Amino acid sequence: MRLQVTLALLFGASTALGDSRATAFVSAYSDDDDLTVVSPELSLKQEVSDRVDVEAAYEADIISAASVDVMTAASPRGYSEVRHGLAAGAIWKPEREITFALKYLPSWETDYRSHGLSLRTAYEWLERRLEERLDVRVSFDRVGRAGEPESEWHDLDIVALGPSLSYVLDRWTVASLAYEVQAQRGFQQSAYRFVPVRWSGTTTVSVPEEHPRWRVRHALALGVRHALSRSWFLSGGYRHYRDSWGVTSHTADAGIQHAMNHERVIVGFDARGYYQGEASFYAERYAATPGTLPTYRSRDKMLSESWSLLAGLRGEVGLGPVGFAEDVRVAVRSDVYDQHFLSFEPLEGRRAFIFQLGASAEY
Amino acid sequence: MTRAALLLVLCLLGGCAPVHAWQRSTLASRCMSPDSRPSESRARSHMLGAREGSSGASGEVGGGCGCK
Repeated sequence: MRLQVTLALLFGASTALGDSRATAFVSAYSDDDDLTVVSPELSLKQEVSDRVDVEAAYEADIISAASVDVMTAASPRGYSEVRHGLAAGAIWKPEREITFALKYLPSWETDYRSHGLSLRTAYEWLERRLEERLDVRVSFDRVGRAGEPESEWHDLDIVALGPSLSYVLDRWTVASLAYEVQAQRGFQQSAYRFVPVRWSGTTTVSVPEEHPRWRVRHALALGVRHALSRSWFLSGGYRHYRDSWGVTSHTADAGIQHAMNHERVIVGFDARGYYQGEASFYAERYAATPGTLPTYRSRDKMLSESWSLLAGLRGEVGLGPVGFAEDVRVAVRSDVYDQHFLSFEPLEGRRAFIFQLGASAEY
Repeated sequence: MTRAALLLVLCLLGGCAPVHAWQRSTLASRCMSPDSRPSESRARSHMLGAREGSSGASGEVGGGCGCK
């Protein structure tokens, strides 16, 4: 039996357990809006038979912030918090061409609880040239304010359906097409943010944010991967997004990778450009007749008009046999993320640096 | 019917010439698989999902990360 174990080096730590696969990974994000997020992840995968694998994972977001969102909240002060997430699931392959994967995904933090369930089915046909997938996800979440009793929190339910296709065009090229529709119902504003509304020339009131309870989101993505040779690879894609709140977005990405020495060393560069329009009810400034309020109002910069660029370099090295491992791989990635808000007065933009580190080993 | 139409489109795009197993060594490269680095992809999707207003419909379940 061939075992695969993936290790990650998190500050030098690594894990490998008998007949199992272990993955660990760390990502660090830091921007000039005083936000830092460190996200470690550890997962285990166990082959229990030729057709069944089980897996479990833990992840966290360790957040330290004094960002503009915090400063525009009712009680502005910096904060630190930790989001924890678990995943437990099974993968069943009743036939060579058919896969079912079921996962339970709970996560929690001081002001948010989530219970998610995802089911993926995949079927390969045309001599495995075409793969069809269908992803179904549901999530039952609770949203509130830190320190409030959970009985006062609000519900947020999410259902998503995502069919996709991947097709081998020729011996050098694979194309993919994916669509996803997602419906969200419930509390979708921030429990902390307040919106200034001008009532007359000199009177401004600050009121809680209010978003529609329903949001239906559609995304359609096209992708292509092409081998220029046995060592040079190109990738590219485009994604169009539209939702019932009036947000539309366009995302384009492209990348190039170079594999050397039978893929012992892989280096790559990729870039992504993103533009989104603002939500139909979003305004940079709100005004209303004294004594009234706009039905929906938002101070969420994610609903404003914005664009961003993300570009990064990555490298991966196969170290060969190390200790009891047949092959160890080490990967590192570094990105710059530049985001600009065109209709959000408190913040024009932010620049972030992202660093990721991991390693893998096969047994 | 749907599958027949889909097949026709795919044939028009890429031709129906078979790609035999022995011709797929390049396609099997790590560089050709979108799923070869799931942790990296998931972390990236999670980061963007917390910062952009349209990233919710990209395969991420749950959330609530306050890092916006």
